[in-house]
Amino acid sequence: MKNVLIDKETRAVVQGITGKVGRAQTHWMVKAGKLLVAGVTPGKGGQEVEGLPVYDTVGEAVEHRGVNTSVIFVPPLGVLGAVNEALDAGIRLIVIVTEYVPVRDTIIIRHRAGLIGARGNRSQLPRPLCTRAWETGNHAGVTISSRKYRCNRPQRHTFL
Amino acid sequence: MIVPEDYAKKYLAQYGILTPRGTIAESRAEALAAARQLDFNVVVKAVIPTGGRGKAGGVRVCRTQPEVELFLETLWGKEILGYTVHKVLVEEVVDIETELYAAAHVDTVSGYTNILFSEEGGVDVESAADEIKIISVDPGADLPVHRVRMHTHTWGLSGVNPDALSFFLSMLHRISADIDATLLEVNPLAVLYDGSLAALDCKCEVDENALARHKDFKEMQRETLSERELKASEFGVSYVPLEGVIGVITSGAGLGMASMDMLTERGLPPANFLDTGGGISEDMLCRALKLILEPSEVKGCLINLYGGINRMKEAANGIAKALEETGDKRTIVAKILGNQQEEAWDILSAIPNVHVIKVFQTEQAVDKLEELLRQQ
Repeated sequence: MKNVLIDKETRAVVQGITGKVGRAQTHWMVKAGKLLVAGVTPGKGGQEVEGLPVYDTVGEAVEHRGVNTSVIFVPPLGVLGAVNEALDAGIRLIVIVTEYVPVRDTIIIRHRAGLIGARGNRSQLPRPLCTRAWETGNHAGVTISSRKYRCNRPQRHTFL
Repeated sequence: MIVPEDYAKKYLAQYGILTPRGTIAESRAEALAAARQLDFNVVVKAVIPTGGRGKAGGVRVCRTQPEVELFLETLWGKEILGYTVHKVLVEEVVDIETELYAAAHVDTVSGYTNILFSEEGGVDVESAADEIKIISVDPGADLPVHRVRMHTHTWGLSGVNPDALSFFLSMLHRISADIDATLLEVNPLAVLYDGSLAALDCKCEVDENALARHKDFKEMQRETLSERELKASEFGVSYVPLEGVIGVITSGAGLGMASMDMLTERGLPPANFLDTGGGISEDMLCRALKLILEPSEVKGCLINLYGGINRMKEAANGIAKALEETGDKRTIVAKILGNQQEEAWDILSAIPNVHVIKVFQTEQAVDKLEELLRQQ
C-alpha cells in the first residue's frame, strides 16, 4: 500500500500546540521541515509558538493559513473533539499521536473518518499513534521518530 | 476494569431495569442480618470480579437460616477462581419462568457495538452460540426502542414479550455507552411470571482509558490498588508488583514485556515492573526509580527507555537525582536510546553503580546485568 501521505501541497496544523508535548514536538518538526504552518489551542489564539501563529479553532487556521493536514497532541479525552473539529473544518489527513484514547472514542473516530473518506496511514484511516505516516517518502525526518534519533536498530522497527 | 455486580446492578436500576432487592455484606454477621430481612429466602453470591462463579460453587439459593449459615461458613475466606471471598451479595429469590441471555459488547475489530441476545440463558450460554441473535449498532449512534423492535419482532420469540425485550435491549445499549462499558452482560435475564424482565446477574467491564470521565469508577479502582500501585498512579505511571529479584522500568509496556521475558529466561525474574508511558520528566523518573528500588528483594535494576517524544536527558537527570537522594548502591543497567541520548549517556556514565548500554539490542543490557550480578 502506498505509504506516502504528505507531499509539497501539505500544510499542517498542530492541534494542542501550546501544551507541553505539542510545544516540544513543534520545536523538532519546525527544525526538520517546512510543513507546519499553524497551531491551534482553544483560548490561546493570537499567541505564537516556534514562529507559528496560534489560532482558537482549526477553521481559522484553514482560513488564514490554508492548512489541509492536522497532527494532534491533545490529551486522551480531548482527541475525539479535536478530530471532529479537524474533519468539520475540511481536513482529510489527520495524525493522532496521543495514547490511551478511550475505546469508544477511537471507534467513533474511525467510523466517522471512514464515512468522510479521511486518510491515515496503512488502513487509510486516522488511527491513534500513527506517527509513521510522517516519516516516509521524501520528507523522511519530519517528526519525532526521525533521522535525528536513528540508531543502530534493525530495518523493520515498531514503536513501543 | 471489572465493575462489581452490585454496583453494575445499581446502574441498571437507575435506567428502569428490574433487579432483585439485595444487600452487600462484608462480614458473616452482616450477611446473616441481610438474609433475615428477606425471611431467609435468599440467593447468596460471592462477590468476585469474574464470571463462571455459579459453576465454581460461589452462588447458592438458601431457603432456611441453617442453610444460609452453612453456606456462609463454607464460602467465607475460601478461594474461588483465584479470588478470596470476603464479600457476599444477599438477594431475594425471584421466581422465574425462563432464563435468557443479553449483552452489549464493543467489537473493536468491526467498530460496532453488538447487542447479543439468546433465549437460552443460564450457566452454559457459551455452548449455545448458534442461537445468539445480534444487532450491530454504529459507533456513537443511539439504539432507540423502535429500532430494536424491528429486529425482535422477526426473531420468532416464544418465551418473551418482544416489546419488553426491546425496551430492555435499548436500555442495555444506552447504559453501556453512558458508562464506557466494553462489555455489559446480563445472564441470566429472567422472565418473571407476569412477563416482565429482571436482571439477575450482571457482568460489567469498563474501559480503563475512560475512567477519567467516571469519577465513581476511578475511585473504585483506587480501592483495589496496593500501596505502591497507588503511589505510582499518583504520578501517572503503572506499577506491577511481581515475585522476582530485578526491578524493571521501561518506556512502553511492549518493551517491558520483551525485557521481562529475557530476564526470566536468564534466571533473573522481575521483582516489579514500571511502565512510564509518555510524558517522562525528571521528577517522574526520580520517583519511579525510588519506587522500583523500594522492595528489599530487588537485587538489581534494568532501565530500558526509548525516547521519541520523551526526552532522555530528563530521564537521566531523574535517575541521577533518585540515586543521589537515596544513596542506593544496587546495580543498575540503563539502556537508553532516542531523543537526547548522548546527553543522557554523559549524565549516567558519571554514576558508579549505573552501567549504560548504547545499542539497540536489549539482550546486551540483560547480558551486562547478569554479568555484574554474578560478580557480586
